[in-house]
Parts: sequence; structure tokens; C-alpha cells
Amino acid sequence: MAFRSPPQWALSLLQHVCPPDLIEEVEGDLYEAYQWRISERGLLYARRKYIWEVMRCLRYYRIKVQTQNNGLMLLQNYFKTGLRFLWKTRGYSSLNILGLALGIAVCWLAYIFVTDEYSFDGYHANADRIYRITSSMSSGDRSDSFAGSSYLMGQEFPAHVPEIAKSSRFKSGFGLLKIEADYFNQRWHYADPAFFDIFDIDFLAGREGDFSQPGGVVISQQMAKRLGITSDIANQDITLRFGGEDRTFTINGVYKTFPLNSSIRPDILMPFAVWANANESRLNSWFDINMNAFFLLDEQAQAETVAEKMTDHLLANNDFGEITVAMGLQPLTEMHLDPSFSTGNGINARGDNQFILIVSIVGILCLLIACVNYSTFAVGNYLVRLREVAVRKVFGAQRKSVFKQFVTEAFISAFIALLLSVGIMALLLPGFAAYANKTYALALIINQEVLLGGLMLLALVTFIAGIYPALLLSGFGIINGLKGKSKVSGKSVLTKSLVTLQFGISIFLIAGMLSVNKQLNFLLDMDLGFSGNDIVQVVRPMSNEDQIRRYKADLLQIPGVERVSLASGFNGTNLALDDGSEMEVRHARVDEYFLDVLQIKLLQGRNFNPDMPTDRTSALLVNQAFVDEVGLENPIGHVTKFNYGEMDGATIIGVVDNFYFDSPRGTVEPAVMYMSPQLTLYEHMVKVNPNTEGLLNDLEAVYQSHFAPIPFNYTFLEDDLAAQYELEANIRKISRAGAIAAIFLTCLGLMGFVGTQIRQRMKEVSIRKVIGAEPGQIFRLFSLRYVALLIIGFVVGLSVAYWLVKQWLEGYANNIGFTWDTGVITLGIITVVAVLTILSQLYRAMFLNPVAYLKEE
Amino acid sequence: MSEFALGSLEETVLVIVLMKQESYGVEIAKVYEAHMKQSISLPAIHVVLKRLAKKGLVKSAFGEPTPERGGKRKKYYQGTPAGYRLASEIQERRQQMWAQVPKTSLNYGI
Repeated sequence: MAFRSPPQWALSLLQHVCPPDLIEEVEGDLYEAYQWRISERGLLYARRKYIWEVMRCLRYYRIKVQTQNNGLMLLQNYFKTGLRFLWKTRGYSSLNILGLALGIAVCWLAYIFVTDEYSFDGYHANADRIYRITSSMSSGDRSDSFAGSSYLMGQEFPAHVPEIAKSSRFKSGFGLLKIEADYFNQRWHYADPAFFDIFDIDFLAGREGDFSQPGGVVISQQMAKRLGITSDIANQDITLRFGGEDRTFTINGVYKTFPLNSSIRPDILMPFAVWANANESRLNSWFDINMNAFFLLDEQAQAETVAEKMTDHLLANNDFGEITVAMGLQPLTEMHLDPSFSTGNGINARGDNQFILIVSIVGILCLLIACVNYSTFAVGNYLVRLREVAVRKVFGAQRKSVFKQFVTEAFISAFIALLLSVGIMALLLPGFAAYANKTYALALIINQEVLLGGLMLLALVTFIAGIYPALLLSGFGIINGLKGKSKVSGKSVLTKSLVTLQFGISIFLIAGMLSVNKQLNFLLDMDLGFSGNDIVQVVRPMSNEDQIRRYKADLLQIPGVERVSLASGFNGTNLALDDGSEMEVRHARVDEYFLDVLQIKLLQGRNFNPDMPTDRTSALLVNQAFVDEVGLENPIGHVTKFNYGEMDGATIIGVVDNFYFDSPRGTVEPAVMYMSPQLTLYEHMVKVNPNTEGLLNDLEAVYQSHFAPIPFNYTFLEDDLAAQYELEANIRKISRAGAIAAIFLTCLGLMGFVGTQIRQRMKEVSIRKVIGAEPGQIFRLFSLRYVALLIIGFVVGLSVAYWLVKQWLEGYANNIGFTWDTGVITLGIITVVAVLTILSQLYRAMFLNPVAYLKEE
Repeated sequence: MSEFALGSLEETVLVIVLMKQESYGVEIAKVYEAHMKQSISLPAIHVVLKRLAKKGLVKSAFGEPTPERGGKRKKYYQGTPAGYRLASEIQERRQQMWAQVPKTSLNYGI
């Protein structure tokens, strides 16, 4: 019979704890009993029993007899000494721990932010098998990617590719929601029946029912609350207005509102058939991409193979000529952060990788500074600890146990700091959530994952902060320690490089913050080529020419309204040039007041004249970029081949200065404007005198008389322009907060470092003063040594900042570049802060009474 | 009263040791389980044996290593004359006490 060996770890534990005179008997008995129990009651029972008996052995043999020379018992001593030392130096220690707590809090917040961004859409049980359709088209050196799909794709691919287990189209719709007698703007989503199988949707009441036919809808708990529906959904309905009529739907179910970290968060879900019935002309086109389709693939299926099969099926049914077309599948979990595909059509806005990167950098750097603070502080006290270490060693402590002691002390500080940081975080979280444009519940701090993050942080901080002091202090020789000889090789070099590192990090963050700030101000102040001042913008599509005229006339009746212009907004098309090539132009329908209202400069030719009939059919205004791109020497009177919407013989009548109708991050593209009615007018821009009383009420009254019951929504164009820079503004906010936290932490560190050094050299200072040193000389003596560190830190920090900022700025067509004054200002800030910090500590030494320190000992 | 007070488990283990010429941990555990109808952990027996040895009621000696013990030697325990005397004294006293318990009584439903 073969003997099974008992669990190895339990056996080694037993051998480790059992006294040598007992081990043979106990081990043998347990072994024999193990075999016997296997044969009687099975392996599991025997194992359990074996482990249990080993545990029992711990109690009897080890703890009672052998605790005298045990690392465990010393640990208690380390805690005691550590706490005593903290108390002894409570002034600097509390500063130090506070700094550590702040660093941990900042890093933890960054961790919460980043994990939240990366957790998007991962909560569905099938998340790793859900994909959405994408496609790409390329011809020659030009290639475009499309996110989303057409109605036909969502129908054909699942029918012909067997690996697609389930599929649902998904699309947003927009209209009005009627609550009692009032209408509100509301978004909803269309989905196919399988949507409820693909995604995790918890129904609180009812179910989706038959979702393949128009009929009922299901709504989120949040929407139910808004409608005043509690638990009983029987006989409840919802009235939505779209396509020009009120339509009432039965509510079949209420589901739990989608979590915040989901890219799809529908509040009202209705069967896709509702949309299909209203858009029959759009159901049979392969490349009418206006929606999304989600596929749940079989467990063994490879996304690439499925995408290839989709492409094959597409090509079997279509001929694209020279253009290469390929279908693709994007994993659900990548939707939130993959910059190569756009969102929209029911999928919420993407997260920004740049922003995530900056938040992580700030978080990590702040933690690093705080840890370095702790290290320099702990090492700064080395003179005091030297004797203690030496005495410990005389009593037989080994290097290993002294090392353990100082790691334990770092752990104590880190632990206290961690507790404090939870408090700091609770205070900062609402502000940070608003700062990062997120909604975090306080409950978010207290979930498993974040607590795990906290423990990881604790271990990390203990390690980073404790390793250097522990290595250094445990290495002291006994004799030198007892004599108080403190020369330890490498000590000052490493400490100095740590201080330099802190300077470098602070300088990097300050320079980065200044550059972001400057770029944002530059963008805000940039001459956009038009003025958005005092313009109220209302978005409302209008295609009835008669109505447009009457509405415009009514608006102009309002006191305080100076000019009204209606425009379509800029679309894009291709324009054939005389030499046969094509170029992309942007085009918009405007009216004769467009230039006037937006104060766009006319460089050549004339504006539209409504009295000339040809201006309504075939006249074009172009921008300077258009003239430059086409290379026209004499643009006025030039007949172009611009033929969008059957326009014929389009003649240039005027050239306007470039203006940024699109994002100012890029360049101004070639554009043409016309008065002929090819496009629906979308935007009215009303130039007003902002000091007129009741102006907005009057505007609303006129609007309602034409468009009721659609709610009146307006913005000031200035605000819209500022909102374009939301990302930059967010980056500025975060980098500013990060830079301030970094400066603060660096100051704390410097204070602790300089402070401890000076305290230990008070006697030297006193003697110098007795001999006749002036306060100024003392200041120079102590502060000059930091000048070199500052300069090295400055060079390193600024170089890194220069390199990174330059890369960031390359994303902007118009940028300020990295200018020398950023460097100067950074140096100025850090110098002033450093000198003030050093001075606050040196003050005591400079003006001390020498007698007080010399009479000691 | 004897000079050593014995716990109930100590007494049981001592009696088990006295049953045979010599006995060791696992064997004692098996006999204990067979008679007492309940299981016992080996460390508990080890502790008891150590205590009995300290009181001079049992003595021990190593046997030969065997494969079913993972190559470890058995430690055999043997009762000492003192152990035998103490155990029999306890049994005798208990016997005497039991003799005074009435054999029939309405209280106990006999």
C-alpha cells in the first residue's frame, strides 16, 4: 500500500513550531493517523483532521514554551518604540503623517477615478462576449473608420454568421416627454428583443413583454420616479411626442437604472419596430450608418473570424469598386476608452485617455513625494536613532531585525496616515467629483475593490517610505554608533537626490500646470474671426420658407433685438476642381445678416443681397482658406463646380476672412456659404442688446407662438464657445490641484528635512554665533547647500515637462509652444516657496540665544 | 485521597496504557474511540501522556522506524507500578462508592 503524504505546508508548520524533543513522536503519530483516517473516512476528512491537529499542536507546544526569543514578541516592542518616537517628535511627525495622508488621499482619489474609467461596461455577465459593429473604408491613401452600423447590417449579419448568438440594434431617439400638461426634452432608445438577453437588466416590476412589435415600452427606475410611478405599473402609460404627434405607450416593466459606469444608459427603451415603421426608406441600405448593433458571440467564437465572415457576406452582396471595405467588431468594454471610434447613436460620450493619464501621473507623483518626505524625515533623525540601534545590536539584534523595526515604524505612520486619508477623502470626494465631472457616491469609497486598493497602497507606502531608512539605519556599525560617529557612506548623496527628486517633481507639475493654463487662455483669447458677444442662439429646425419669414419678422419686433440671422450649420461635401481632382469643402446655408451678426470681416467682393434673384440661387461666399486651397488669383466672379443639392453655376461673389466655425483646436477648413435653400435652417442667432429688460421672456413668447409645445431652449454663444474647451478646462483644474498638492507636500518635506538637520546642529550654530556669526551668514551657510539641489531638480523637472508638454501641444493646430517665461515663472515660484520654508526653520537658529544650547550636557 | 489528583481524560488514558504491555499515540486514540464512542485529537493525547510521564505514572521508550509512520520511530508508553497502583486505587474507591448506590429506586424509574 502506498502512503499518501499529508499537506506539505501543515507539515512544515508543525516542524517549525514543534520542540525538537517531541517532533518525532508527534510527526509520526500524525502521519500514521493520517493514513488510518484516509482508509476509514477518506482523504478530505483525513486532511481536515491533520490540519486541525497541527493547529492544536501550536497551542500546546510553541506559544507557551518558546516565546522568549521570538520575532513576534519583538514586534510588540517595535510598535512601542515606534509610537514613543512618534510622540517624542510629535510636531514634525504630525506634519509628516499629515503629508503622507494627503499624498495617499490624492493617490487614492486618482485610483478611484482611473478604476472607474476602466470599469466601464465590464459589469455585464457576458461583457467579454459582447461586441459592436464597426467598419472601415479605404481608397488610395485615405481611410475612414465608422463606429456603428445600418439597419440592414443588424439584420443580415446575425442571419448569415452562425457564431453570432444574439443581436440587438440600438439607437437613440429624441423628442418630447409629456408629464401632465407640460412637455420636456427627452431622449429614448430603440432596441431589439435580444437586448434584454445580451445585457444584464434587472427588472423591478414587469418584463419587456413582446418587444418585436410596437406596443409597450420599459423604463428605468429613475424615469419611473420622475413620472411618479411607484411599484404598481398596471395601467400606467407614458406619452411621448415625436414625428409631430403625441403618442402614448403602455409601460410593461421598470428596470433598475443603469449604473454610472455604463456607456449605455437608456431611460426609456422601446421596440426597434417603432423606428423601423417610421423610417421604411432607410431599412434597405447597407451603408446608412445611423445606429449601433450589439452582438453576443458564441463562447468559442473569435471576433476576428466573425468580422471576416461579416466582410465576406457584405462583399457578396455589394460592389464597392475600388474602395476597400472591411467590417470590424469592437469589444463592449473598449467602447469607453478607444479613441479610434466615435460614440453617439445612443452610446454616451467617451472617456478621455489624456485626462486619465494626467490624473494617474498627478496621483502617483503626489504619493511619491509624500513617501520621500517620510524617508528623508526618518533618515534625518538618524543621529538620535544611532545609539538606539547600536544598543539593540549589542544585545544581539541582527541586521534583519533592525531592518524589521524600521519597516514596522514606516508601517505605523502609513497606517495612521491611511486612516486619516479616509477622512480627507470623504471631505474631498464631493469636490473631486465635481472637479472631474463625475458623480461618485460616498458608498464608492467603501466597496471591496477600493478597500483592496487601500491595502495595496498601505503596503506600497510602507515599502517605499520604509525601505531606505530601514536599509540605512540597520547598516550602522556598533562601535561607530555608540561613539556617535555618523559618517555613513552614501547617506547624504541619496538623501540629497531624494530632495532633488522632489524639487524635480514639483517643478515638472508647476511647469505643466502653467503651460496648460497658458494654452487654455490662448485658446480662449484667440481671434476666432468672429464675435460671439451678445448673441442668443436657439436651435430649431425649420424648412417652411414662409414660416421662416414670419418668425424672423416677429423676432425683430421685440425691443432689444438688433439683428437676426438664420443658418444651417456647416456640413461637408466634395468639390470637383477644374483640374479634375476633388477637395473636401464645408458648406452652410446662411442669410444676408450672417456676416453682420457674427461680425465676420468681408475681405473682397460683396455680401448677399436679397433683392438680387441670382443671390438666392447661385451665389457663393467663400472663406480665405478656400481661396488659398484652390489657388484662385482673382476669386470674385469665379464660377465653381459646387453642386450640392443641384446647385448650378455657383459663382463666388465675396471672400470673407477665416473664422473658426469648428473646433479651434484644428485649422480653418475651406468653406462656402450660400443663400439657396439646400439645407434646413437649424440655428437662429439673435444679436441682442443685453441690457434690455424682459428680453428672454419676449423671445420665448414669440418662439412659443410659432413652435408650441416644443420647449424654448437657448444658449449664449459666448458660453458655447467656452464650453468647447471643457477638456482643457478639466485638465487645467486637475493639474492645478496636483501642482498645489505637490508644492505643499514638498514644503512639508523640506521643512522636516531642514528642521531636523538644524535641531541636530544647534550647538554648532551656537558656537558660530559666540564667535561672531551674523544671522545672514547662518542663513547662507544652511541654505546655499540647497541651491545646487534646486538647480539640478529644476533642470531635470523642466526637461521632462518640456518634452511632455511639447507632445501635448502638438495636438493643437494653434499652440503657444513651450516658452522660456514658463521656466522663469516656475523657477520663481519654487525658489520663493523653498526660501520661505527654509527660513521658517532657520529662523530659530538665526536668532537663538547661544547660551541656551551651549549649557546643555 | 491519593497524592496525585488525576483528570478524567488522564485517568482514561492511563487505564488504556495499562491494558497492554505497551502502547503508543495512535493506538491509544483508536482504543479510546472504540470504548468512549467519541473521537479525540492526537495532540490532546500527547499532552496527557506527557503529564502522566511527569507524574511518574507511565514511562516511554522509542521503537523502530516504520513506513506507515513516514519513517519515524514509535514512542511506546508503558505503565509504571505507581501508575498501576493509582489506577487500581481509583477503580476500587469508585467501586465502593457505587456499591452504596441503591440498586432499585423509584426515582430513577427502575
